[in-house]
Amino acid sequence: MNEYAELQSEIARQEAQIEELEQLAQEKRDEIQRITQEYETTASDLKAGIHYAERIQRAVIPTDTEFKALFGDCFVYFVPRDIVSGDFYTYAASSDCKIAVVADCTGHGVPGGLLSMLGLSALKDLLSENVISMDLNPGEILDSLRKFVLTSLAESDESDGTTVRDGMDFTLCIFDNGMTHMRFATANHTIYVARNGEIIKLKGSRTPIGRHPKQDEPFESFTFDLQPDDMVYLCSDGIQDQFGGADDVKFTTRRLAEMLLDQSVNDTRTQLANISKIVDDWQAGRMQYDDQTLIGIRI
Amino acid sequence: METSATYHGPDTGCKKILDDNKQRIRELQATIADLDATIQAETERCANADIQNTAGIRYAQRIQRAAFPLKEIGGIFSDYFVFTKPLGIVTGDFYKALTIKNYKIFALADCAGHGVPGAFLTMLGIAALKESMAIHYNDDDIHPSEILGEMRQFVKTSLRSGNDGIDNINDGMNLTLCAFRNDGEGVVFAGANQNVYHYSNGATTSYCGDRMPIGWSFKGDGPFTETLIPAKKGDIIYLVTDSIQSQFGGPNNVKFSVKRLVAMLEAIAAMPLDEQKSVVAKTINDWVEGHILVDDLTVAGVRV
Repeated sequence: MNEYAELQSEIARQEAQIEELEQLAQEKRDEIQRITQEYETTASDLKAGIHYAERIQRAVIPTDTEFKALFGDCFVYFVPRDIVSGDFYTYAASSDCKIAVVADCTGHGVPGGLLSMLGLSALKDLLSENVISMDLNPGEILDSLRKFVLTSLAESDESDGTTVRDGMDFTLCIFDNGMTHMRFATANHTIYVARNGEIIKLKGSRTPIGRHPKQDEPFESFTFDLQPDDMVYLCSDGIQDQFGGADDVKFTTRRLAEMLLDQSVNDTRTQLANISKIVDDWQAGRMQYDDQTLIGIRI
Repeated sequence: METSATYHGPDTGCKKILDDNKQRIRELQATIADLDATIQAETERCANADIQNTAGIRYAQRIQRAAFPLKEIGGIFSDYFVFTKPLGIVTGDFYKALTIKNYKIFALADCAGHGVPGAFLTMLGIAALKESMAIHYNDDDIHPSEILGEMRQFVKTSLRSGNDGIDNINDGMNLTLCAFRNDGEGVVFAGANQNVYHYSNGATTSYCGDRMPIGWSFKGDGPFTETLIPAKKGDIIYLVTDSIQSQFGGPNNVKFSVKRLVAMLEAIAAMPLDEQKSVVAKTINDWVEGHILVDDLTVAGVRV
């Protein structure tokens, strides 16, 4: 019986150990669940925040319907890479002119979105109704905007002394109400005009709105005569820089110009559908590289 | 385990139970080792995913630091401190110091929400403030109440507030704006849902801002009011985001409250300002310790 008692106590010891181990295993399973859940909560809170920020941004950016109400026959292709966008577009109007703007802030996603909020807010005031007219110098608007960006974003932040080199590339076009001509200025952007089977590239200044060695040179203003049926395209560099195609290369400005020329004969609704498809096919499931914005206006 | 019920004698049943249990212990030990490995892998996976998710936001933090750098305040006010405790990587609180003709301006705002959407609103708020200041650039006299009204208009139009469409956002911000007269003859204060505290000769006086935000309000757009605080040279003006008084914490998990806030300010007011900052930081960090931070918190002190 002594042996029996020993065995029984050994079994009891084992059972106690088993119970302890089972409890430990359960604790570890709970721990795993806690880790996963904690991460998922953080990630979904973050995402919810970014989605809400998107709503804030979309409130500040006009809708394509509003844009169409002003420019009539036109389309707006606006495809942010992430939920919030570093690209933005906007418009302004007074009794004698209409203004179209496309901007591309450095980066994309949240930092791009923050800069776009800053740029949009500043622009809103620069383009208030009582200021704008056909006599307005588009280059001066870009100068003012640059001044705002430079004074808003300090040269270096005190923590690590690094300079925030961010800013934005920009297109601003002022059309007279009869759409006979436009005055424009650009910062690192190109405007494309499709006319009689040809593409005309309008390049303004090659400096961004932001910190740059040439930041003291004023932005140039240009005037361009329009003809009925012209298609005027304002865009960010998102499409041309998109990798894709059979050889996984950039779309390039060459393909962009060809695409716009091909599409310019179609009505604007068809153009939007075709361009969306062409860019989608080019990307073919690859990651979108940057925010993509393209606005086409029929004169 | 029904071991006792299956006992058939020391040589047969017991051995089997012992062996089975041994086997079970080995299995459990292996399972635990696996679980340990899973914990480690999952911790790493989540940490990496989090780093990826927040990479953009950490970069955005740099933009915020550049949009309202501390050194900007140092260029305008000689003796001040700002303690800020953001809830996330980016913040919905911002402070801004500006000069305009006969005044030095200090503004402290708490935008709706926190994190990324709060940060988006800070950009809007900074632009609204700068644009409003631009209107008054040449004015001999500044009226903070007017500036708040102009900012409200700017914010509401920008966000399409009040419309019934799906695009409208009825958010805004709370704001304290203090205009320090260069001749030392007082500080003009206007507040939107925020208060300001004036320390002079050992006593703290609080001034309440209007109970409406810079933004849409169901109460409509009444005019903001302003108060001339009779501050003398050497006095301290404290600007505080409202979230501090409603922060739960402490041993009894209660709100920090205005009472504790004033007590804290009175306890520090005689110290040099950089020392005040350390005490404020310690007081607030201790209060929040072990509790959930509900919003970004900021306390600023400026000597007249």
